[in-house]
Amino acid sequence: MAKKPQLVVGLELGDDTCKLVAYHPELRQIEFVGLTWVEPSWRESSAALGKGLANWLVDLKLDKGIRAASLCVPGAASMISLAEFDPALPLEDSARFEVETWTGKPADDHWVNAIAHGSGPSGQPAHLVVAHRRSAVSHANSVADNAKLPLVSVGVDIVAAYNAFEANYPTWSDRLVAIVLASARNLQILWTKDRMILGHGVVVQSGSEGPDQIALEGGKALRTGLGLRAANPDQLEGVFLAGDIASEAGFAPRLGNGLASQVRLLDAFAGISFPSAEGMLGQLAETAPKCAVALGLALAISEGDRP
Amino acid sequence: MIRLNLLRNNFGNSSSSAPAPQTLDLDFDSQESFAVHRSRKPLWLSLAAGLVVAGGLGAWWMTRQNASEVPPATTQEASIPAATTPKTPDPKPATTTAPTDSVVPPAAVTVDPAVAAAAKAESLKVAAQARQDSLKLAKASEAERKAAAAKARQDSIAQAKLAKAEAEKSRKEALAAAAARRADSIKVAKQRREDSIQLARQRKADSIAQAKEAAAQAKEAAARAKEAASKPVAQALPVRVAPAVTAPPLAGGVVDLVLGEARQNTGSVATSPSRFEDLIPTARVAYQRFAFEQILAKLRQVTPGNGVGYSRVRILSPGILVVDGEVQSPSILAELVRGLSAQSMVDTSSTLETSGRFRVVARLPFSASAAAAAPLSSNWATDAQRALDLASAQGLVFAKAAAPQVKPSAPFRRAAWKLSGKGSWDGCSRWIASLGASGSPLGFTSLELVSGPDATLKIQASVIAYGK
Repeated sequence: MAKKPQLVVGLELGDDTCKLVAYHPELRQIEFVGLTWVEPSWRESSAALGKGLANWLVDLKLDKGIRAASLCVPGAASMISLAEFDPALPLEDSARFEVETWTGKPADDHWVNAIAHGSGPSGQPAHLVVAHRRSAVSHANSVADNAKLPLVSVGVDIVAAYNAFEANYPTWSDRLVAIVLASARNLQILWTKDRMILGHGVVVQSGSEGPDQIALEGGKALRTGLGLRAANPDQLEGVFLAGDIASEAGFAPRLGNGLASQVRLLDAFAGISFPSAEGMLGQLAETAPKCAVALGLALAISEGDRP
Repeated sequence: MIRLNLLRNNFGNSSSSAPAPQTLDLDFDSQESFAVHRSRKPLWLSLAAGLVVAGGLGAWWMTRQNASEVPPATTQEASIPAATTPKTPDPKPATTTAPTDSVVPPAAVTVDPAVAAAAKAESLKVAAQARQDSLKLAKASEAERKAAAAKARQDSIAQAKLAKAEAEKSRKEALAAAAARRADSIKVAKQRREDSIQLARQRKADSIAQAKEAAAQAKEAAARAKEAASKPVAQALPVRVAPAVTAPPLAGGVVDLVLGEARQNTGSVATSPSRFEDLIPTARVAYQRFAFEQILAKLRQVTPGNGVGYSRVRILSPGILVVDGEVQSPSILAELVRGLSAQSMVDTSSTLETSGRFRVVARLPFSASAAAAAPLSSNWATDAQRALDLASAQGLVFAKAAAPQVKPSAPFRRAAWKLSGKGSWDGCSRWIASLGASGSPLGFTSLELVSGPDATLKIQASVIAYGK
């Protein structure tokens, strides 16, 4: 009798690389971490990308062991907003209006999630409104179909990075922290305190600027509190850096130049059991910040709320 | 943990209390612990409860079946289940048997027949009257009951109608309120949208105005920069790296002393050559060392204290000097050129760019009095290593010399090396002098000193020697 699939998988499809974290929800441990380059032929279509991923999963011997998978869309192209709605109005109407106002396009073009989320800047009950184009989500769905992945959820990369932070650094939950997700093309900042998201900002690369310029611009954004809606940037106590270029030499110091708080790499394996990597943590130090998103995706569909 | 699922719309889920609804719809094969199984608990519980109820009914039915099929051992036993069933307790046997037991035997009573007949007639009469009364009463009560029922029915119908009307009224009111609320929400939404559009327009106008202002400022700055660039010498020079010239100028008369010694050494020469090309090879080597050392000394001596920086100094055989650098004003460059001329450098020329960069070329005139011959090399490797040792003694750090390129040059063989290293200006000058003093067979065809960012000079030298 064939063994039933046990693992849940978070998969981050980046422009250049693809990261995977396979998590065992019953044992509450990471079983496998994978990273591969996206080959040029994979970019031709969603079918090609899906087939490429399917072959990769076969190589990893994960093609039959996955019972649920979660993909993500980029937060730099998403709407992530903290909104205070009029309680007299229907929530759906308010959320749709917020999305239409924010994006300038009909709400039906987007998938919208509105989650009750603490208090807003004015002290009123707030909702976290997240929206993304349906076409992009359909692309992710198509990729998963072609990769024969049992897709159950599509998240947002920066929110997944936040989930990884929350799982690995529970003692930081009462402090104002900026989660920074840096790629070669943009840099996202998610502000959080007390397990609540307080804002989201995006620094986009313009022209031929390199990582150095993005780091400098990101440092400015951190100092000025880009996207922060419910607190003061002077209260920032920590910056946790994740993403493809987080481990590049000099990036973190440049990002933290002029900041009173220290910039740390977000170690996705700091607080979660990873038995198969024991003795390899030194080698995984560079990979850990890159896998934060994939881990957060896997955790979001596999675990309940942490105490 | 914040759970999003953009595979569909989701409004109103709390991140802290409600589990992720998307995962709850999964249909996994595994039924082991997993977040999605929480939603299946009610289903399993209801299924289990159904099974228990079905089992209980089955057991009851089986019990009934068994009870009906087993033949009773005695009549009493067979009657027990019927008697114990609460369904039909029958009191009739008790009431019928009791009067029978209390009947007095008729033989013990004596009754008058007339009285008995009268009593019987009276009782029949009373009974008939009672019967008629009861019939009347029954008829009257029936009519009253019917009337009351009709009245109650009418009342209930009226109440139902009233309730229906009220429900209809409240429904209409609710619909009207919902429509009004929706209209209000749409109105508010429209108002907010118009506000946001107005705000966006205002911001766009502001950004355009700011962009125009920035463009005007940039244009003005460009004009100022252009105007500044049109001036002959830039006011602000780029960052430059000056050579590490730290030693004081040579004492006056040293050059003359050296030249005098050279003249004394060549006093025995019968015919004085007038050109470098007229020298024999070993004499060329010695002259090169002399010329290079002289040029370094002269350049250092005439360098102004401030306002000039050298980025590269090249000396080519037999005595050509090429200096690249930056000056803060043309007067400083003119001072440098005058100093070189005063030090007997000839054919001096200079170019100066608007940025302050300059190039000076000068030549040391040939002097036959300095043409003492250098010895021949007996071993290339040994002589090269000795030269490196001398350089090290002067603080110069050279990479290990590679094997020389040896070519025939009648009547000798000519070996050439490329040396590269770093050190100071003074150390370089002293190294060249020490080569001559130690009788080294090595000379220079070129020497290049380049300013490095770490305040040291990068030295590249092409060295030659002659041997048999």
